[in-house]
Amino acid sequence: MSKEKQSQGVEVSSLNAAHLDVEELEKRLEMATAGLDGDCWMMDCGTFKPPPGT
Amino acid sequence: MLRTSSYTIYVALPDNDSEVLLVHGYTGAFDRVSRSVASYLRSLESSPVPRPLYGEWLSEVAFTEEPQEASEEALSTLKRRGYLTELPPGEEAERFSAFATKVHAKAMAARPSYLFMPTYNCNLRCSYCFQDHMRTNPAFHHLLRVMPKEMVDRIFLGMLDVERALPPLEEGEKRRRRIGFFGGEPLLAETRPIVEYIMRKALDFGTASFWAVSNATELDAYEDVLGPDGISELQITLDGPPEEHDRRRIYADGSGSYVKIMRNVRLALGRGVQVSARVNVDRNNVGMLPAMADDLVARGLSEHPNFSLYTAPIWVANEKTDRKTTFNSWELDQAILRLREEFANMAIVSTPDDRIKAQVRKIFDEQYDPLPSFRASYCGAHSNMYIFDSFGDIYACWEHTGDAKIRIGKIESDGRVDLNVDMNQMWRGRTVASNPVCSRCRYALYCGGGCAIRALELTGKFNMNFCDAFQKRFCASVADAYLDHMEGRQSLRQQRVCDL
Repeated sequence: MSKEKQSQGVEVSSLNAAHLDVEELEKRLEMATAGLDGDCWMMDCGTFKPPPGT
Repeated sequence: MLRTSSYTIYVALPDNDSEVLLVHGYTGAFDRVSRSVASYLRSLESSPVPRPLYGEWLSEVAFTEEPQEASEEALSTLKRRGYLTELPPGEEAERFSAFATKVHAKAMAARPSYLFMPTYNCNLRCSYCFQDHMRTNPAFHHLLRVMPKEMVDRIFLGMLDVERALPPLEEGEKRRRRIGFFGGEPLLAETRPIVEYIMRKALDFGTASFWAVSNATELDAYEDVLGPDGISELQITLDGPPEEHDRRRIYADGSGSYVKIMRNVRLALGRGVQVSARVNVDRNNVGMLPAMADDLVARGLSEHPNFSLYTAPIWVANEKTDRKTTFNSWELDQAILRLREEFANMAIVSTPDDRIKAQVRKIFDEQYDPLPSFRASYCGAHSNMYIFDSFGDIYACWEHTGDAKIRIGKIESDGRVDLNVDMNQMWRGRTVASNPVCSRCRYALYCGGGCAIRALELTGKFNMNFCDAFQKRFCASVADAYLDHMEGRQSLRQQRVCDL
């Protein structure tokens, strides 16, 4: 997690890949060969379960 | 002129008065910022936030802090990660739509997902079934036939037609396919010969793995083809503890199905099958979930590594379902979370949004780039799902099967695929860029625009959004995932990968 403390007390902390850059969007999409057909956010197909012991 | 991106999402953190999370709608950036930075961003917004399908975004973060101009370094970060932009709103919306269209093209180019419907027939008569008319109205009786072998042969030739667009195989390489079974009830004893024929055919045509959505009442007829090398994943349905389930998932004579299902679930687990149990929930059975969880814990199923249990809201699919008894996904989430506070065994019951939370945990824990998970459309109905019924009709969506008027194509007698250009365009062209609400929505690429069928029912328009309270669900999931990440709590584990 990268952290940038600002001189005026303003703070921005990047929680995921700090190098994500709006200008690199197209390149990232080209490289994203895997996942688009299965690793989705929404389908209610029960692919996640609570950790053992919970 | 520098302004805040129209696709900036603010996520409030519980019990935190000094910071909020920012999420960007198309760069996939997740950041924590002080409220003064967030307030500064809010002050640079140039256009009103688009409204959801109905109502308001009730939990939109409000800032009382005086906006304070950010330092050069912070400004640079905010620009780089997409929260600040020089693009005018119209140009940014165009950029978003073009990007979403490319994301969709990527999904369209992925390996097709095939579903066989060996029959529309079913041995149960659940009141909320969206195919209820097929078994109760004689006008649809013709649909209930079992797929003939000759049709299977034609469909496999048709698959080769579909796969012409895929990259060619290397010499000696076999095409790998995932094949699902859906119905009606696909795994009836009566359909065993044709299911086995489909499986054999798939292995003649390449390599294959198999899964099914089944009511599990006649799984014992499939014992020898269940397992890692056969039907390896099952989605079954339980609708409460034994007494409640047996009121809802009934045979035509009114008798219940719980005992048979439980026996067959054990059989499947014993053969190494991953069993995902879906619980269809409304306001009438939600209070019975703790008793159901207790029952499954007592039976030892919850401890089985291949067994999982998840909930889904019942939608109004026919006139037998009263809308007032139904939940949306957010309401169901909240109801289950309340039950978890009171009943320890409810921890085995997943909420509709545990999936979103698990995805966000991956972002925080593994520095995972969310871009490959962006969805420009809601489900495989809009990209690469092909559903074949026993007549050789091809559908995009399983909720709209059996009506040849809306099929996307059919398998000709020589195995060629005859696509209906207009229907194909309608289904495969529905993306977040194809309607004016989603294309301006900050959440669109995390949501996919919602279910087309639900949008159609609610608005009369196919190319319209179905929000299902996504803003609340997404923001709550992100905040929860962040707090769990910071406290080092164990994450949900992924049981299997969805195909649709």
